[in-house]
Amino acid sequence: MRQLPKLAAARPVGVIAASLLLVVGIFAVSGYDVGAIVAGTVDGSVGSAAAWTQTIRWAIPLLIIALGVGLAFQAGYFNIGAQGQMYVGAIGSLAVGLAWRDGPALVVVPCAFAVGIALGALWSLVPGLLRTRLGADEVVTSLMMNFIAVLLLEWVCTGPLKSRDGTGQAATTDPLPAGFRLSDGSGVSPTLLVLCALLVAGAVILTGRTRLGLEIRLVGRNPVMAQWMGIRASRVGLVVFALSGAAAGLAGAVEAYGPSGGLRVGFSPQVGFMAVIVALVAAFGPIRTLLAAVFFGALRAATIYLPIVSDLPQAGLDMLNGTVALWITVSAVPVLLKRRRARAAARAGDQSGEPARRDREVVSSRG
Amino acid sequence: MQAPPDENTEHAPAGAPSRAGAAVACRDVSVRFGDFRALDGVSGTFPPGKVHVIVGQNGAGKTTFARVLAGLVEPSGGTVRVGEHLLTGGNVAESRRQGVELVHQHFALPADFTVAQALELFNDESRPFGGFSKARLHRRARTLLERGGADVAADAVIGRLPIETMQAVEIARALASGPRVLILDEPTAVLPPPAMRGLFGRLRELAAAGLCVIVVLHKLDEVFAVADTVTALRAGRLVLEPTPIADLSPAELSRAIIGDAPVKEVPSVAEPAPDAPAVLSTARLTARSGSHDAAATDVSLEIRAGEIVGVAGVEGNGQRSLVEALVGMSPLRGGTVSLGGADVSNASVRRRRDHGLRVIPFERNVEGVSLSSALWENHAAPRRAGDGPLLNPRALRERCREALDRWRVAYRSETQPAGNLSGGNVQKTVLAREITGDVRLLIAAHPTRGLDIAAAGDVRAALVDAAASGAAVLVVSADLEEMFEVCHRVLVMFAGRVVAEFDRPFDLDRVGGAMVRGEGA
Repeated sequence: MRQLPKLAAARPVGVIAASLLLVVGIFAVSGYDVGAIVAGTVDGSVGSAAAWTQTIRWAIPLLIIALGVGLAFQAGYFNIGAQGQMYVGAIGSLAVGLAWRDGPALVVVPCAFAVGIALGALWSLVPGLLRTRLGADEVVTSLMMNFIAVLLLEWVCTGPLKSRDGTGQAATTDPLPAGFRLSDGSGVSPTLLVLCALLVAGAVILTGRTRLGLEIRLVGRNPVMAQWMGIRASRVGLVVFALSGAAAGLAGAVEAYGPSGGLRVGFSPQVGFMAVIVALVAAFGPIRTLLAAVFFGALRAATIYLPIVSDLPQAGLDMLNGTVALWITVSAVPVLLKRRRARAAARAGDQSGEPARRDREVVSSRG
Repeated sequence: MQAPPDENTEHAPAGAPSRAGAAVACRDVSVRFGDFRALDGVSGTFPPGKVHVIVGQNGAGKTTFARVLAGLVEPSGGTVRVGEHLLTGGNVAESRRQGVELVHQHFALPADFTVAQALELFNDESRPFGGFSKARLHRRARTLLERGGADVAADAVIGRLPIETMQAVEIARALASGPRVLILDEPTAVLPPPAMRGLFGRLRELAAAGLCVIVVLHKLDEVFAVADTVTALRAGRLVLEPTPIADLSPAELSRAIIGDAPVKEVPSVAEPAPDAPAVLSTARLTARSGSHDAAATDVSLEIRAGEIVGVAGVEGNGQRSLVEALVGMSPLRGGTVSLGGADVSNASVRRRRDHGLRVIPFERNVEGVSLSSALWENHAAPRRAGDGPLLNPRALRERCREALDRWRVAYRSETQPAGNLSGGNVQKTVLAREITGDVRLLIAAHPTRGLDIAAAGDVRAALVDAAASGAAVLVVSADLEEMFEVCHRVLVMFAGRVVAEFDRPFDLDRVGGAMVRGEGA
C-alpha cells in the first residue's frame, strides 16, 4: 500500500516500454527492417518541425478528452462514450457556424463552442442519468451512444449539412468561413495551445483545490461513506458525466473549427478511445495526462507518416496502440472493477442494512 | 494433556472427529511492516486443553499475532511450533494442515450463500466435478453444524442470520477440518451481551475436549469470564507472558495492558438544565425497513441539550433504521423529525449536518471512513460551515493533523490511507472528525466497538464532554454497561418500536428483560 504512489508512476512507463519491445519484436519476426521502422517512427513524430506539428495536432484532442474521461474515472464511472460525445459536439458547433456564416467571429465562435460543449455534456448525461437513477451500466450505455452519434454524423454529412460544392467527396459538410477558424489545416495555433494550457490549469485546480475535486475522489472510493458525510453521490456522478461529455464536445468543436474546418463522415477515428487509454496511462493526474497525450499524439502522427516512408502497413503502429491499451487494461481494469464491485456491494448493503458487509479491504490492507 | 507427536498430519477428512489439541510455542516472533514493528520478540507457550486469552490495546499486535499463527502474516524473525511441527511461516495451507484455524474478526463467509454452501466452500475435500448433490451438501452441513454446536438450518442464507449465529457458523466452519488449535480474533466485538455467555461456554467446552483455544480480547471482564491463561501485549512487545488467570487481579492485568499511561476518567454525568431546549424531537417517526433490521415505527422521542440518551435493543430491532432516518440516509415513511427547532423531516444529510448533526456510523470501515482515501481527505469529507467551492489543501491537512493529534491517533502522515491504521485508530479518526465544537446533535452508533480500554474511556469522556457543552447525544450500543455509565435515559427498542424507557439508576435485569421480551417492566 505504501509503495503505491511510486508504482503508479513507474507502471505506465514500464507498460509502454514493454509494448514497444513486443511490437518491435513482432515486426522483426515478420521480416520488416526494424531499424527503418524505428527511424521512421521517430522522424514522423518528433524528427522535424512538421512532425512535431502533427504530434501536437493529435495530442490536443487526446488531451482535452482525456482530462474529462479521467475525471469520470476518478469518480468511479467508466465513461467510454467520448467518441460519440465528440461527434455531437462537433456537429452542434459546426451547425451554428454554418447557419450564421455572416456573423462576427467573436460572437459566432464562442456561441458555437458553447453549443458543442453543451451537446457533448447532454450526450454524456444520458448514460449518466441511466446510471445514477436506474443503475444501468454506463460502460454499455455510453458505448451504445457512440453508435448513435456515428450515424448522426453520417446523416448530417450526407443530408442537412452536405457540401453543395460537389467536389466529388459526397460525405463532407460545407467548410466553415475562414474567419471562424482557430487554426489552419495543421491543427496547431497559439489559440489552441493557450486553450489547452487553460484546460490543464483548470483540471489541476479542480482536482487539487476545489471541494468538487475532493468529493469526486471520495465518491469514487467510497460512495456510501460519502453519503453519510452529506455528499450527494449521485449528483457528483452527474456532474462528472456532464464535465467529461463537455470536454469531449469541446474537442469536437476544436476539430471542426481547427484542423478540419468542416466535418466528414468518421473523422478522427479512434480518438475517443485512445483518449481513454491516455487517461488510464496518466492515472488521472492532469500533468501526467498532458505527457501521455503528447506521447500518444506522437504515435498517431507516426502512424500516419510511416506507410509513406516504409513498406510497413499503417496497421503496424495500430498494433502498438492496441498492445499498450491491452497492457493498461489488464493492469488498470481489475482495480476499477474491484472498485465498482465494492460500490455495488456497498450499495446493496446500504439497502438492506445488513451487518455482514464489513469491508474486507481492511483485513487485506492492514496485513 | 500433552500434544501427541504427529509427523504425518495430513488433512483430517471432513467429518472426522477432532484430533487432540496441540501446543503452540512461539519464540522471539517479530513482524515488521516497513519501519513499523507490529510484533517485537514475542515468546510464549500455549498448551492444549486451555483457553488462552491475548489482550492488549489497539495496535498492540494482537491481531498480527493471531495472523502469524494462522500463516496469514509471515514473521520477520522467530519461530512458531504447532505440536512438534515447526511452521515455515506465512503459509496458510501449512498452518491449516497443522490444524490451526482462525475465526476472523470480520466474518469471511459470503453473505449470499446458504449455510451449507458456505461450509462446502471451505471443504478441502470437495471435488469440483465429483458427485455433488444438494442432499449430500446439506447432510454434511448438518453434521458439521451439530458438531460445531451451531443451531441453524443448513439452507438459511448467511446474510440474514443474526450476528451471533453467523459467528457460530464461522466457528463450525473452523472446526470442520478437525483443528488442533482454534484462534478467535476479537470474537466478542460484534456480539450482544447474552450471546457472549453462549460463546464463552462453547469455547470452554472446546478447550475441555482438548483443543488449544487462543482468543484475542480487549475487555477485562470478558478476559476474566473465559480465560485459563492471559498473555498481554503492548506496542508489539510481550508485557505479560502466559499467566494463569487465578494469579492475576483485574488491576494488575489492567496495569500490564495500559502501562503507565493514565486512563481518562469518565467525568460524572451532569444533569441537563431543567429548562434546556429540545435539540432533537421526533413525532411518530416511521422509517423504511432494511432486510435485516426492523423498521423504526411510531418513534416519538425528545433529546434536550446536554442530555445523553441511549437506545438499547438486540441488534436488528430497528436501531439502524432509526439512525438512518434521523441522519437522512433513508426517507421517512411517516412522522416528523426536527433538529434545533427546524423541521428536517425531508432534509438532506448535508442540510441536517448544517444544523449541527454529527454521526458516528455503525460500520466504520464502510460508512465512517473511505479506507483507500488519505486521512486528511476523510477528515475533510463533510462540509463545514464557511467552506466554499474552493479549498486549501494545506489548511485542511493542518486541521486534520491537529484533530488527530488531539485524539492521540497513531498515524505517520495525514496523507496515508485510512486503511493503514488499526481498527481502533480508524474509529478515533471518525471521532476526531465528528466531535467538534459546533456539534448540536451527536448520534453515536457503537462508538467504542473494537476499542481498547483507554480509547473507549476517551470516547465515553468525549460523549459526556459534548453533552456538558450543550450537545444532545444519542448513543446506540450493544454494551449496556457503557450506556449505563454515560446515559441519562435509556430507551429500549423491540421490533422497531420503543417499548420501554428507563431513568437512572439503571437496573441491568429490567433493561435486559425489556430487550428480550419487548415490554417495559
